[in-house]
Amino acid sequence: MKKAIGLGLLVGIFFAVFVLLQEYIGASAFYIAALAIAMFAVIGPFGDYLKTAIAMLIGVVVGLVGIVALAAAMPLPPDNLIYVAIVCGLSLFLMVLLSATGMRIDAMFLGWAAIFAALYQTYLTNTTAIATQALPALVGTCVTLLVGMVLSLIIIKIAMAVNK
Amino acid sequence: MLKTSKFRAYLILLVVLMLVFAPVATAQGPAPDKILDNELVISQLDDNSEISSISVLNHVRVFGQGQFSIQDSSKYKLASVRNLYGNEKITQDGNNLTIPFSIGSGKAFGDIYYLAGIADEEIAKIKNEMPISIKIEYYLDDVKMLPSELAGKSGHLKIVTTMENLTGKPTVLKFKDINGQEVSKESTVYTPYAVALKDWAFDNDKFANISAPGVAEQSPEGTIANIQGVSSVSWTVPLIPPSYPAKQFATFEADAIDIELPSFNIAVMSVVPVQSSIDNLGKVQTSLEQLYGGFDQIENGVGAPSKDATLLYGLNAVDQGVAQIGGGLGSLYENLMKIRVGMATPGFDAKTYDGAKGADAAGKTPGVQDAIKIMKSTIDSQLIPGLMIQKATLTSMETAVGKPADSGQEPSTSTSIYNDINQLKAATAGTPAQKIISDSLEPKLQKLGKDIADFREGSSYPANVAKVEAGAKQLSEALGKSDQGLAMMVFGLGTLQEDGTPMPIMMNGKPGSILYALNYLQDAINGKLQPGVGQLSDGAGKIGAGAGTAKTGIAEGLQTFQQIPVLTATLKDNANQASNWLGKIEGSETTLTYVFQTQPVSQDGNAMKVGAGLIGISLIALIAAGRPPKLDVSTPVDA
Repeated sequence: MKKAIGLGLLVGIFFAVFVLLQEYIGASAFYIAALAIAMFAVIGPFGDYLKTAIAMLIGVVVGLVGIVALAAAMPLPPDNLIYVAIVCGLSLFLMVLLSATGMRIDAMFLGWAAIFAALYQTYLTNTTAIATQALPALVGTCVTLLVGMVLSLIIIKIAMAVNK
Repeated sequence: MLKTSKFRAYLILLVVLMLVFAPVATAQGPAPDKILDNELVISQLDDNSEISSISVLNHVRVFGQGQFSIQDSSKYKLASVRNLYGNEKITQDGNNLTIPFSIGSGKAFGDIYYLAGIADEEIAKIKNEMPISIKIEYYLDDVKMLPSELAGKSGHLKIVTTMENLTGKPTVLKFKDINGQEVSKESTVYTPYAVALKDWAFDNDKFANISAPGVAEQSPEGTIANIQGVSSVSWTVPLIPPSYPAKQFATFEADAIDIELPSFNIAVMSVVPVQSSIDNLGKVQTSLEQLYGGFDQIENGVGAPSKDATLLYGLNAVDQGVAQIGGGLGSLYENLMKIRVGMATPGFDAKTYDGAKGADAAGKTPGVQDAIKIMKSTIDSQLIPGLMIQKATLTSMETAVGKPADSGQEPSTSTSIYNDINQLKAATAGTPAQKIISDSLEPKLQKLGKDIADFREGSSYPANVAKVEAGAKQLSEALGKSDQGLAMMVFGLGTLQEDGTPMPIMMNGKPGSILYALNYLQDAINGKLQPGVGQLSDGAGKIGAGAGTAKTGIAEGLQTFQQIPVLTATLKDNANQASNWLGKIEGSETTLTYVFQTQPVSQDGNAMKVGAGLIGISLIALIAAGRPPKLDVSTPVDA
């Protein structure tokens, strides 16, 4: 129990520190990290967290490519829902295809959703800013997801330790 | 074979007809009712506030219904053209663009927004062709820095944005002046531009003591709105000479911590602004015209010495009159001086007067008063005493003659002749001697006594001694009065000093004698009146010249007002001509706005580096502990 409390505190402090330092590490959407942390429930104690993280990063890249394609090559909002739908459909189609290679589809979706959460509002309101915000958003999203994944790993270790 | 030949003939005919009628069909296509073309030229400024890239957001609105193919052009080489909000295909042929419009029924117009990116090789040329130059300088604690160097620093931040209108060209403006004369005046006329530095946002957590000070005639003061933790600073800078300077600057100052700045937008529009302020220029112009009229009247009133019915002409006449008065007074003075000297010679000494020489010891001849004094003195000292002596002598003689009744006294030296005769007659009584005495001597003696008495003061002698004496006394008194009268006249004319000039005597603040008064008057005329009139003429001349100068100045000032309508019209023309930058669609109404975007100051770079590092660490951690454990797939061997 003591070990659980100690590790739980450690995770809590890590997350709190992450939230506090989010601006200094370029991670603006800290709550996405909570989603990544929650992945421990589906990955399980013997899951491949590294592979899941890579799948998340692939999802982020697919999402970023989709956003950039929307911003740079297609009609811009507000009357462009059809193009958003096409890009989203293609993205998911691509990720499903990629899942055939062994990548976790859920992780890729999470990565895709995370980058969309970071950039879609900017795309809607100030499309030209995508040019300058895409790279910071990419780094910030990756940091958020990977930190979440590390914390997820720590939590599963705690769970395993507690449950032996 | 025949069928094949017919088919070919029909095919050829069809192609020919298509070739012939296709252009006609195109030419007869519908024309839009109206085209609006709005250009937004977006210039990205780099770290040195130089233009690093330019893109043009073009909004074309076409009114009408049907299919339209709008031809647009670009005077600069384009790197890309993109339809931003629609899927119509904009075709690019060199610098010519074709924009298709399809406006369905129920719609009055169609819009296409396209973004044209200017090729990089054109940027250097465009920098020199921009109508407005924008220069932004950043200072931290008075040290000039590049914006990229500011990120994360703290101190007193100062941002100076210098804007200059570069469109000034010499232009001849023609208008009518106050006298109705047509005036051609060359002025440097600009295309009017207003620069809006709008809503520069500063986070209150990072910036304090924010100010946007202005400098009269150089820099407008900014407006600061503090809304929900963000201070928004805005400036509006009209670069519209002559009302506003062609070059101005806007200053932002604040105490900053951990500096981060967003990209600021600087919008530039060609516009002749309509001011809501109350226009007093009309009243000022009317006042200046009245002032001009007033100075004109002054100038005409002052006039010239040769121009009749003017102040200078009058003053010239006064000057001449004063000169005549001065001359007359001089003549009067000289003549009165002669009279004065003739009445009483200054310094004449009557005591040393020599009658034979007719002058005193100093050789001065006596004046009238001097002569009268001499006469009176002679009468008083010589004539009257002589007459008195004569009268006493006659009395003595009469006493010596005696009375006929004198007798009985022994003749002696003290007895009268009658006593002696009577004694002698008594002694010679009865003798011829008595008869001689009675008939000859006594009558003669009687006549002698009577004559003596008469000569002294008898009535038989009109000029007897007593009368002469009385006359001499009267003469003396009359001379005395004459002397007094002459003395009064001399005093009235004025006492003379040894040098012959009137003695300056003032009585009750006024000259005490005629000569001194004349002298005083002469001095006043020569010393004050004539110079005063001269100064008055000079002053009037200066007033006239000043009025003329003022008229010239006011006329020039009025020309400034009078050229305002022409200038405003020219400015509006320039503004209309400057409503297009990239290229004009034939027959379109155009508007143009420039936007300069500053380089943002951000710490994202550092955050990205830290984030990248953290990504690496996370991946290492996941590689180390995130891989699934290797499962023991060996089958336990049953014992």
